[in-house]
Amino acid sequence: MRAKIAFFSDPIDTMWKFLYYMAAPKNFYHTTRAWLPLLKYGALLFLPIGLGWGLFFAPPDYQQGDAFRIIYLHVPSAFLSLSLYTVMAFLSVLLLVWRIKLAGLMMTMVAQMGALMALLALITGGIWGKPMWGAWWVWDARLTSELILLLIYLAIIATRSAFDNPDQGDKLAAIMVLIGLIDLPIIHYSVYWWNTLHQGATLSVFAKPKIAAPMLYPLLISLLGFALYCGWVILYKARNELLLRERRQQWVRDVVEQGLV
Amino acid sequence: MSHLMMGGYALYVWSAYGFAAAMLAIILVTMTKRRKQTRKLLQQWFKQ
Repeated sequence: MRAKIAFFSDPIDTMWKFLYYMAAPKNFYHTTRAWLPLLKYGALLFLPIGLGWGLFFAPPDYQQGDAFRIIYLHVPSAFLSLSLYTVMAFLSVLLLVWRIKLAGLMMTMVAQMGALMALLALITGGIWGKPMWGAWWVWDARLTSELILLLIYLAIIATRSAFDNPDQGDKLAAIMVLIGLIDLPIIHYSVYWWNTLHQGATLSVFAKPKIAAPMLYPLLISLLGFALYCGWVILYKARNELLLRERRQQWVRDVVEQGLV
Repeated sequence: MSHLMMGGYALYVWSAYGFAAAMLAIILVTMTKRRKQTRKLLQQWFKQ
């Protein structure tokens, strides 16, 4: 029995050790330096491939023609606006429960990217809707709840920037993240709970994709490209802010002197 | 050329992609600018 528990506890133990190691700003800064080029070149590789494939090589839709190609922007950005919020929720718990200050800093950076993804989703959705539905905007359940998500993101960003003290600002923003979390299931299930104009899910964990393969593959590649891009920007900005926040520490002085900024 | 016309939907498709491209580019420009500012700021700060 003891051997069984040890087998399962070791990877979890390693994970916690890694988390606490990375929670120290100096370790985080130096370790993540190697991650940046992976994220950067991954994004620069997959975004053009996914979008180029979707724009020029995927077959046109029999109903929507070439207008459907907006999907390669709209779905990744919408998906990321939700998944980044989930990441924020996770980071907020790390801050509020485990008091990992770095999580608070990361959360602010994630909020910025999440807001931009929500904005992109709403704008590309509106541009897509005009030729297809005849309207730039309708107060449909999914559109409205996604707009509310954007407003929640903006509220979190505004709250955070209202505080000079980053510790206080992060904590309040973290609480707001958790309160706003209710919007996520509303957005996700809106197309089932209400009689909506916005179509239902094309991709789901449990069912086969409702989109043809030659259209699906560029969508998945685009999604990967956007995710890597967001990861890159978030990490880049977080490392930058970390240097500023920790400037009184010796390790920051060392970093600046060694030219590693 | 037919690819650029996007089956008549060119205005919509290209304005969506144009907005996305502009947004992604501006993000990169601002983040590198801020990085350079930070570097300068910290170098000055540590000289004192």
